[in-house]
Amino acid sequence: MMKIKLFSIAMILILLSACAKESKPSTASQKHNDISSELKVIMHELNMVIYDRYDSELDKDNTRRRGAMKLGTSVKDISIQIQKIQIHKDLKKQDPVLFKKYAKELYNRGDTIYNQAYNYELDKLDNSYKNIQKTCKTCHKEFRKKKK
Amino acid sequence: MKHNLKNLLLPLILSFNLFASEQVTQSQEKSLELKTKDTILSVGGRIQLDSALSSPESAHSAKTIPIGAIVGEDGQSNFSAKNSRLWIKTKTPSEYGVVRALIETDFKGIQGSEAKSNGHGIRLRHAYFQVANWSIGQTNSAFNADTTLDILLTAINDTLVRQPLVRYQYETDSLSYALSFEQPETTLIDPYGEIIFPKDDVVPDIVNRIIYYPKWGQVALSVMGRYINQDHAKLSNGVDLNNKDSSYGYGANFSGKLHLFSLDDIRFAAHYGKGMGRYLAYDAYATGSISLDGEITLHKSFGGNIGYRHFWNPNLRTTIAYSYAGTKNNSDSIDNLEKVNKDVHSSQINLLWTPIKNSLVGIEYALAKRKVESGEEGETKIINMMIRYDF
Repeated sequence: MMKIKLFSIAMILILLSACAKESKPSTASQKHNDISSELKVIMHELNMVIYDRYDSELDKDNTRRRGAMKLGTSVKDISIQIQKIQIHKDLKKQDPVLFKKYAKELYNRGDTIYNQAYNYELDKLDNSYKNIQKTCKTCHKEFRKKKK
Repeated sequence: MKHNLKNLLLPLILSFNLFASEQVTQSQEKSLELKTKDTILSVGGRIQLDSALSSPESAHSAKTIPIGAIVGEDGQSNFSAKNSRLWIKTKTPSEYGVVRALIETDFKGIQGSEAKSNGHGIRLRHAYFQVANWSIGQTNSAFNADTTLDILLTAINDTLVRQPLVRYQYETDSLSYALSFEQPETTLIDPYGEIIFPKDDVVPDIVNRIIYYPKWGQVALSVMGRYINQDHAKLSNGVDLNNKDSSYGYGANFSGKLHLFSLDDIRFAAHYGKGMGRYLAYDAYATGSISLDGEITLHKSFGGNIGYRHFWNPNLRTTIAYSYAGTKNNSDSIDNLEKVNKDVHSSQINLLWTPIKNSLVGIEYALAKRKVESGEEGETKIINMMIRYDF
């Protein structure tokens, strides 16, 4: 009986710790960083699906689909936050246009992933993930460097 | 290695293609596919080599840990590839949405001799299809814990049942709800301490499950109702009872995972029920007991597990876990109490490494203890090693 009590206490503490995790970022840039961290966790979880010990292959596909839809939504959220970021004053005049272009491209790529997952086109997702990485890397290379 | 496996399977698919006059492709990253105009058929599987060294010799199971004097060998080492798997799945568009079907097998069927060919019979794991929110066929019960520990040996309290079912599932971005009608099967302890199967089940087991997917993790609650029935059941001594009895059982299973800092997480499951029986710990505990008068008394059973998973780096991880399962038997009306399981608990720790994509190499240590109703106890220590590759 003692073991059951200890187990119950552990469960309650775990649930309370989860509630305490929520925090509210203030700026668009911070939100961008926070959603990026979420994306890393989602991508990591997608890589781990193959190790789910009891799930059937269809269950694993369902998990991949749900993860990809979540990822697509998060990518679109990042795009929205990016568009709110104040561009550094040292940047050239045409840069805001380019910045918006990348942000919009990111939104479209997130939308593509969401729709592919929704329609069970899971075999197309690997390419779509690579496209998102490409857009992110190009934008970071272009703007994070210039900011320095 | 991945390409070699594909090369091995390619002639098989190509020969099928000659008959089907269809198109063979290797999809962008992973599975090998055969495409017709509408249907995509994929083939995949897993090669797995397990090696276990236990003292005394035992499986990590709530039913088989030796009690009292050592039974069998002490320190016997076993190798096995029977956990390897093979699956075929299809995907076809229809007016009701995508129809997806799966047949998945492993090789844990009839076992051959370890001295000669080590043959292992093929065994059905899953055979079902999904369309328009419905799943029909044999697959995991909706009562199973939704999140499981990242361990090599099974958790001692596992709630894992695969059985024929009809399930309706409704999904949103953050919720999943399922109502499932599943195969009933009653197990009762007779007055001689043996488990009997009355084979008088008439109503399917009914399971409601809800899963919530917040940003901080995932939690699931399953609730099950069962109708337990015996109609002139036969006891283990061959005597046929001349009456009927029935009762209603229930069970609840709460499981989940919580993301912590970095990639680490905590995983847990807790279950409780009356008449939950075979849904817990691989049928280690009976649904209830049956008296010489044919009267059914349902047993309460309970269990839980908790595990912390730490990533040393994205390819190297450790889980430390504890699991427990137990039951309250109606021991006043049962003889041979040394045959009747009371409770079991186990502690496990492992190190799992992913050297190349889709592979896993791991080592795990488990210390498990079992107790029976007569008060006797037994324990086993197991070192399990595993190498596997999913193709």
